[in-house]
Amino acid sequence: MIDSYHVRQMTRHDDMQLADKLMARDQSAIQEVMDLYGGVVFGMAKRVLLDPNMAEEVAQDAFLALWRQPGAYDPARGSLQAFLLGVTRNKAIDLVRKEETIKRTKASLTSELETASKETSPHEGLVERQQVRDALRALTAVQREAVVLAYFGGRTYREVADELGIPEGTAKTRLRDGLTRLRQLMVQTGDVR
Amino acid sequence: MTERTHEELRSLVAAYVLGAVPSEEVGLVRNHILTCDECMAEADEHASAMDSLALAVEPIAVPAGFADRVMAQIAPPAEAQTASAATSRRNWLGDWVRSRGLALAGGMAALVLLGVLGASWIQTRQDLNRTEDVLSALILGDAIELRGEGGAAAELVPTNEGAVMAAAGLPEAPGSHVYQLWYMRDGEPVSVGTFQTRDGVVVMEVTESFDGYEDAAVTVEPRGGSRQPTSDPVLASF
Repeated sequence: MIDSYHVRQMTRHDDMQLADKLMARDQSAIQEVMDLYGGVVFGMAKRVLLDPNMAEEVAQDAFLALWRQPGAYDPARGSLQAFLLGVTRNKAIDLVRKEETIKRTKASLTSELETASKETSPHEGLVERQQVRDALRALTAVQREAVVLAYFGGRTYREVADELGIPEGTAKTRLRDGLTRLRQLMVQTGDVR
Repeated sequence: MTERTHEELRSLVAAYVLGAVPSEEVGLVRNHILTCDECMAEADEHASAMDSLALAVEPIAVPAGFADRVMAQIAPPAEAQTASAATSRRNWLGDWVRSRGLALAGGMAALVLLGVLGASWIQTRQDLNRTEDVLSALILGDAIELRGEGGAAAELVPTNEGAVMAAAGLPEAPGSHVYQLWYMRDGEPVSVGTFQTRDGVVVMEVTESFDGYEDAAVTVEPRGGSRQPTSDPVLASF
């Protein structure tokens, strides 16, 4: 069986080749990147923005940003998938912050984590996804809620405090403890330095 | 603002990494992280946790035609391709502007916009790319001009992604107020975003396309914006 470390090594090698082709302005590379990561990028956009049209707009923007500025992705610093997902999340959150009406509710944000992962190719990171989801589930319910609201919901710590009816100091602590615990759990599974 | 202690700021490092610090505190926390080894180390650890968080997302099949729509935006027109292949992008932009002559752009607002772009906007290659869109719209006369009292002016320039608005001569909005940009169709305003100015100028990306709208206007509204304008426009295209 191929373990997650080796899947990661193979993927990173492919990422480097893709980054080189993008720098050389090879249009087939962006097509390939979309084939590989279109699903997760759209998934991230949809996770933050319920509206499929807005999600598509953000997903398109993320790939266009990579095409226009391929140097922004540094294979030495992480996977192309993580980079694209970061870009996508930032763009989606910017949109949510501009338009109060498209904010997702707490319930819809937190419920999705409960559903089991179904699926796909090692490229789309099945092993890693399962590990992160397990790690998220291993947080306390209040830590998970705060982290999910901030990360996928685009809430500031003050909004987290308001929404959960807790003091601001408690919201800060939950975010901090949540991320600290998450990292500890990911270190244990060997996914994070 | 009162001095914040290291512990107070440290308690905000995780929120900062998550992008969950309100804009008025961001600078404070960022400056502290940059000058405090302990907080920088903590920020790095939180960042690695946050990177893994992204991987929890479930993939969803992209809508039909998605890749084609992206590719259509990537393939540049033949003329631009030849030009950009000939020189580096930065030089190409300079040559391009010079060769067409800025005089073609005409109008004070256009010059103001070019000044704003030059001063604050052209920082990355991505920005340069957008700047090309903006400049070409400006010079081809596709930009929408907004004017106001006392020389305040703005240009709204359609781009592939929506539009970019550059404004100058707008003083800071009064306390707890912001500027709000509206598109108008059949006299009905549609909010497309709020903004603030610095030193009287702003460049804002608008995700909503101007297609199908007739006019644009800017009003002063309470922070967070209003559903409908509550004051007379300070800038308008009509």
